[in-house]
Amino acid sequence: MNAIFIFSFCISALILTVKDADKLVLAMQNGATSAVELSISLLALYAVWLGIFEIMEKSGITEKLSRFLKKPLKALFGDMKSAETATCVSVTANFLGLSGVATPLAISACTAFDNDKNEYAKSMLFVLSATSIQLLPTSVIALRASHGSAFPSSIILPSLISTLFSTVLGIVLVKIFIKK
Amino acid sequence: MKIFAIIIPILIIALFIFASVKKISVYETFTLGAKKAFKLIFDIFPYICAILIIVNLLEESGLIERLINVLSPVLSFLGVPSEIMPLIILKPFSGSGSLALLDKIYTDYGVDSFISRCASVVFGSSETTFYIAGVYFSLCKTKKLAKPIAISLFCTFLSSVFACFLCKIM
Repeated sequence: MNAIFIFSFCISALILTVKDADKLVLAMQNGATSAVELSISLLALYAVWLGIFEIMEKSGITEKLSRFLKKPLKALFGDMKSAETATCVSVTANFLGLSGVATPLAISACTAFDNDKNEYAKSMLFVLSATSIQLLPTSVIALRASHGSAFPSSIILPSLISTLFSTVLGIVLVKIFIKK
Repeated sequence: MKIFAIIIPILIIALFIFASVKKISVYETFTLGAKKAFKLIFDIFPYICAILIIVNLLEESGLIERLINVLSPVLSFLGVPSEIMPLIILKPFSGSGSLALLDKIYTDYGVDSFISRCASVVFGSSETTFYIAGVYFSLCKTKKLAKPIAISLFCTFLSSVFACFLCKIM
């Protein structure tokens, strides 16, 4: 990440400075401002969903869910050790399009995998999410409806096929290119 | 569509009732979970900040636009309409930027046109790869991101091409 960061920073900062020297610091500040705005809305989102998740955890539902999903996910992740529950819940939440639960749990699963030096499982969890395995693209459907589409949900099936394609391909590539 | 929309609310209500039947203090438990949101945001904010600064620089310097110009011939060779190429290339970098672009495509071409349907499927089946990478791996000590990012971008790229093909035949 460091290499990507330095590389893209240097090139774009250089171009910006040549174009207009005043712009660089301003552009960086604007980036940070959008980070603050995003963080505040994420704080609200995570507060709601982590609250709900805590209730799920206390009432034993996450444990049941992970017992149910353990076997199929083991084929993907291998031995998940302490990250098991977090991984199961995160993948399920991603599938349902609930990023408010999926992201916090993915972060904790990744951290647990990291402590076990399990690069493979970390990459698998990331690729699953980055190839967007999702049942319903709700934000797109809502936007289509607001533009007065005759069939806002007509894109569900092609989206599902397309996202399934990229996720399966992603799984295969992780299995080939990243050592367990 | 209405049926799908009702699933999550019902699950949440059922959960709250189920928990109170199990004699769990729902109020206390909820606040305990909500409290964790603060620490999480506190921990990941620096990473969100760094990523959004870079994305903003890439956009402002015109590099993303240049990338679009370079990759367009490849995409049009693969049968992707030229109108949605910016969307395919912008999405991995910026969620808000690509959402604005999608909105503009709907306005310009009509929401039920072929181009808008392609754009919808492309948007729905891709993710903000760099942001997810930064956030997911934010608390990890080793950040070996090159391979997973490359794999994700490759898959998203292919599925975008595939999405346009699907819209043509469906």
